[in-house]
Amino acid sequence: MVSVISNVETGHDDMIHDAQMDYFGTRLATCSSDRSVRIFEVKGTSQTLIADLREHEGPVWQVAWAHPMYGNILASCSYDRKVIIWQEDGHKWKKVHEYANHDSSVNSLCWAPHEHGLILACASADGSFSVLTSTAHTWESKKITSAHSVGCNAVSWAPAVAPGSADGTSRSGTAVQRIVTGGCDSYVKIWKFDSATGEWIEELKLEGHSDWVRDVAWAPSIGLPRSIIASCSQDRRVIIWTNDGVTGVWQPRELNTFDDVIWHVSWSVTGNILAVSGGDNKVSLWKESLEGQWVCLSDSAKGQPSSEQRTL
Amino acid sequence: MESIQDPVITNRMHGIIGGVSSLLVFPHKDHYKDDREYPSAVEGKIKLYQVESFSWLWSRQARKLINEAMGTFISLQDAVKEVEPDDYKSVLVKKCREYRSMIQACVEDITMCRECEGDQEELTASGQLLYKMELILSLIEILFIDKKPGGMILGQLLMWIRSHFTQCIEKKNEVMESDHPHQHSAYWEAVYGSVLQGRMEDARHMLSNHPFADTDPFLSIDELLRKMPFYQVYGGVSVAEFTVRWQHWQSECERRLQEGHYSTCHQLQTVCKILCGDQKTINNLIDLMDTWYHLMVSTLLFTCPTVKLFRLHSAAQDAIACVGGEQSTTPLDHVLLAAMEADILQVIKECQQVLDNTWFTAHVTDLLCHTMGQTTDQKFLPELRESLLLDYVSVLVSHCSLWQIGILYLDHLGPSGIAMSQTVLQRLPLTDDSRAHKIIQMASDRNFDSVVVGVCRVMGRRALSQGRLGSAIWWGVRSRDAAFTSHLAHQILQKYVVEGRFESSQLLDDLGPAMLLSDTLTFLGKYREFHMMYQDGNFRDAAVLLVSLISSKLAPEYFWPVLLLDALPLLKSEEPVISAEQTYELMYCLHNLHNHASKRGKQSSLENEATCSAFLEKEIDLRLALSNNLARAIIHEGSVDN
Repeated sequence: MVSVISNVETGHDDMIHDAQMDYFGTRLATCSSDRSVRIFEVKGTSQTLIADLREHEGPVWQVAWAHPMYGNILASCSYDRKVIIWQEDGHKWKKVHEYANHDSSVNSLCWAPHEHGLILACASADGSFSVLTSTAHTWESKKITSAHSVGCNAVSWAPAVAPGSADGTSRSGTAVQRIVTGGCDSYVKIWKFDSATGEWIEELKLEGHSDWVRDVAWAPSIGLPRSIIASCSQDRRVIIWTNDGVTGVWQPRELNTFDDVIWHVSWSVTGNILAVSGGDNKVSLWKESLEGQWVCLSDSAKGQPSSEQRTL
Repeated sequence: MESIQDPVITNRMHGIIGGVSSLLVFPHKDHYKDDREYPSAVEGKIKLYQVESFSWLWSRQARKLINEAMGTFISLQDAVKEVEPDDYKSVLVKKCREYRSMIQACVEDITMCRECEGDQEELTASGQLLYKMELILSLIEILFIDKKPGGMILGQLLMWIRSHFTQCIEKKNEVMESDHPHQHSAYWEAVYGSVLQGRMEDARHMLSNHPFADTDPFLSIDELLRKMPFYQVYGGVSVAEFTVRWQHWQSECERRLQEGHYSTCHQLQTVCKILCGDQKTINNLIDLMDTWYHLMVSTLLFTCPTVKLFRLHSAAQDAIACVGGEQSTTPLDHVLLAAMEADILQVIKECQQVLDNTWFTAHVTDLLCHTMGQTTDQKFLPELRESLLLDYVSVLVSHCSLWQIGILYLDHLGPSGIAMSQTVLQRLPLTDDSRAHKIIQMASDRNFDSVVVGVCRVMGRRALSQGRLGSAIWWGVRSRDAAFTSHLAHQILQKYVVEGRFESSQLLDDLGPAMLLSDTLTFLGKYREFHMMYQDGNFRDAAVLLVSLISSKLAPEYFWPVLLLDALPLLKSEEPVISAEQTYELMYCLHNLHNHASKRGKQSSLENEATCSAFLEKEIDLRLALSNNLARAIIHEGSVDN
């Protein structure tokens, strides 16, 4: 059973493209077609606006919070081809870095797990993705061109804990960096960072969708040796890719075919629930059952009657 | 399921998982690569909704249940590890009864609450649900956990029915308290009800109140009621012998019925027919029994008292058919039926379908998992247990005050539990220092070093942003982050250079061996020591320390002027405290400083300039003091040698 616990009057003048809570759930960042990024302080069910950032020159597509151990840092990407990194200093938010090396709209971004450092990946409609790494005084960038033909729509990092090491001791220096991207060429690609050459190489190309891949999300590690990636596409399907950690093979399993395009998939923090939303005006939650089937937990749609029994 | 009433969000709803347990829902517009901007014709405010799953577990009444269940769960896990396999059963039965009693206590709480305040409907519904949970659990206890040798279950089932269907007792009390019990409209119903539950004493008591109690029919039925054999598990009578006795008794009942002992009183005839196990008579009294399971047990009592578990489900089917068949069964019925069919998986599944949280199914599955132990045909149980408990915990941890309970459960859920535990501990908002300390304590108890380091780093950075340098260093040291700590140490030193005083000196003095984390920090610690020695008047040791600090090159260059200026009073002191060799060191340092300064030329920042000019004024003084001290020291040392 779900219930609305609060609503925020965002003050945006146009549609919202993304909303993200920070690591602890104490801050909320929203971005919109009105070109602004807004940051709210969240206390219980009330939210207060603390910043209205207007440096983008086009609709802002996504925002992402870095791990709080690096301070309060937010990144945003926009149609204006830029990625801007913002940092809170005292009580003011300032732009600390701007990356404008893409030739087209930057569609998506994602911070790396904090064990790798302060690193940001972003995907652009120019078909490439970039990885920005924070060093002592500046940001170094690496652009991987021709990642997906026509355009690269989504990017997501693999969790840092090497699958299988359930004790969680970080093996920094030996943790492998991996990224998954989805593009207009309908492929989902997995990239690996080769520390010897310092280059990102395409490790695998996963075929399954028949139209643009709109979003990809690598599930957080839950202590098991396997890895899971969710991808959603213009072809109205969501596919769950599972790698059992033993054979090295990614097995696809179609979650569902929906009534309309699916734009977004996101995983819960503990990694076992997937939220799916798209053009069918519904947000549905999915979970894997013991038998390995993905079942829908609940969906919330306008006007749909409740069908759950409350009594034995 | 909920729908959001907001015209702006209509046809555009989009949701993303935000935080540990909530969903953010907002109006969204799709975009393509070459989307040209055009303002949307939007009317109304753009709102974002935060949606969470609501659970009965958040209610006040549930709180106690959650806490107590945790206690029982943990003691169960511990007991199972320590106890001999032979003694498992008594432990499991005890724990099952603990769960049952806490559910009953919760029902009572709710009943009391109903009288005061609260959403009546919600409370009533919760109360009923809890009652049903206890009903199911007590049946599970009989059928799976507290199995008696020989597999004879009727005695337990009878107790089960008696404790959950108390109308006959209530009726009896009502009847007996009235002036003329035998004339009370519910008199005979009370008698029948008691007989159907095997409460022969109660039935006899009521019958003895009848004015005709001394007549033959009454005396006869009294005798039959008195002599009905009841099987005792540890009674010393074998099943075979009991069966003989029981059949003999029932034959006697039939004989007396046929011989017309009760022809004068049709109610007594009914009683006797019940005793003879006449199905039609018993079925006709269904209104007194309400449910098929009561009917089933009552029927078995008078037709097959030695029934074993494996026969139970066919008896259940028969009873169900009598009360209206499959179509009238409720979900509760399905659960009970599945239990009687010994189908644990089905029991859990049926429960899951109707309960909005996994409190019940998780704890029951855990109990059953330990009960079944190593039985090979229930392979799914451990996995199911883990999955349900993880589900339960993920609900707990999304609550600001229940997360600790969740963590305690996770200790018993294998590698998945450990992973979730770490994730959760890292994500808890660090509202203040005491919260942070609590989290660190829990993390280090479980050897989650990365969590401890992570929390310390966040707290350190936060302290820094609030200008609490000493606090930041303390966290930095605990996080073993050398770079961060060095950075902080530099900040403190630079502040000292400008302001001439130390901030948070207490924290710095208490660093102890932790200061070795970074060179700069070590220097800071040692410099503080120098200050302490100087203040204590321990000039000679202070001097030694100061010189060693200078010569060891631990000190950052911007700090050398400070150190040299510190040396000045020592150089000028009455007694020579700085030896010749040490004076050479100081001179060398001054020399280097001078050279570096002239090389740098005009590059220094404002602060450095201020220090530089202050330094330059003193430089002459310093050189003079150094020379004087050198002379003095050489003489002194020369004379001592002699």
